[in-house]
Amino acid sequence: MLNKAKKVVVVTEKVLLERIVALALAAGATGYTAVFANGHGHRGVRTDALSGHGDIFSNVKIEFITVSAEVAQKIIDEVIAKYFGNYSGIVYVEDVEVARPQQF
Amino acid sequence: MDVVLEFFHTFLTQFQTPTLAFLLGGMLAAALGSKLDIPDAIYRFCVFMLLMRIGIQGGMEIRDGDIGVMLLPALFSAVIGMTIVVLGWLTLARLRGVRMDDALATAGLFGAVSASTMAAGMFMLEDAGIYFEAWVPALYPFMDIPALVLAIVLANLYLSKKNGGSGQRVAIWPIVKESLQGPALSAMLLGLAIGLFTRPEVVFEGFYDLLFRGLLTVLMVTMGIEAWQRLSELRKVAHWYIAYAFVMPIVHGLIGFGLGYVAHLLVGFSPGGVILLAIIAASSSDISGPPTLRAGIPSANPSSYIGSSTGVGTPVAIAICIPLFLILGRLVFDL
Repeated sequence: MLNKAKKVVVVTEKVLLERIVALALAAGATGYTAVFANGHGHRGVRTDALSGHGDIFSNVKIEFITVSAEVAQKIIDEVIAKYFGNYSGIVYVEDVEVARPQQF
Repeated sequence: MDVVLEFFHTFLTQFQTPTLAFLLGGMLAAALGSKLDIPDAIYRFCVFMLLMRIGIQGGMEIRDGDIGVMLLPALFSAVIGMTIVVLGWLTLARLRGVRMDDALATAGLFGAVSASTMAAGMFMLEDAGIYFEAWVPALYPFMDIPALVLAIVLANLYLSKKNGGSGQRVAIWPIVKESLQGPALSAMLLGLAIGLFTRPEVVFEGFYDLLFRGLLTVLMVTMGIEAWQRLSELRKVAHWYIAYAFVMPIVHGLIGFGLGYVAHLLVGFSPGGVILLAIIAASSSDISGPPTLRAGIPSANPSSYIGSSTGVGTPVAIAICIPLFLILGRLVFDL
């Protein structure tokens, strides 16, 4: 039995990980998954994800799954307003289906 | 004439030391497109070993000595760190095409300290047979933290003024805390405590002191590779950064040498200590400074300050400032 939910994905600089997680949890997210990431975007190639010394040029992909569309929108709005003026990053939403919806 | 000859002689000797050879080797490998890479975990381990060795030795000496003699050099270190930031604010920040927040972040990084440059300087003094107090490297945080704090405070004052005056006050304690909790300073403070309160002579002589030199060469290769990569970042920003990063380590070192000399006259700070203080002042942070600045001055462009420091400042500090201040010390103190 699967249930519809939203997955908010934030790809950004690793220095922001703790702060974005705190922001999302305060907005109503119940958990997250984060992995190292690298890639290419409008600020150019961000390649040091896997080898950079010091965390400053490393990037993360953080995922939040929530059954509430309002919580998803709140995370997106706050991340953009607070961080994406000065830090590089993207944010997007995917429709997902989750088992055990009470966890989200 | 003798002085000039001696300068070139010391310079050439320095070029043949493992420290500088490995740094240049790393840069050369990266320039040739080599895939040579030192894993992050090993880099961190080398930093730990370096700072632990420095910390334990300092702690053991403070244990057996008088902590009072440290006071004036520690005060001077803080003065040097803050002077470097103010100097950057008066010079780099006024130049065309340079943004104030970028300039202050760069000056903060140059006021902060590189543990690897400091370690390279310690070796050079040991090889030259010049004595320095083992607690001199422990002056590191006294210069590092005030520089970072002042740069972040000035940048935030400037930004809040630019945005209409109603900016938030900068909380200083979190910056200090973050610096102290960084990997480099934590290791050194732990080493200091171990040297001060326990008897670590056996592991010090049999492990930390023994591996220190070899591991520094690994660190130098990593820094060489990193320096070359950051140089390419620097091409995207104003050329003034290159000029600043090339000239200012020498100026900062001279300020350090001058104040060290005053401490020499007032409290008998050793000539080797004066030289090492000059080298610490000439160095710019490469491990713990950048993340602190990225968080403290978010609007500043990391390419400008990390490119200046890691790409130009550190190689200049190691290749030019270390031999330069050794020669200056020899001339001034007749060593």
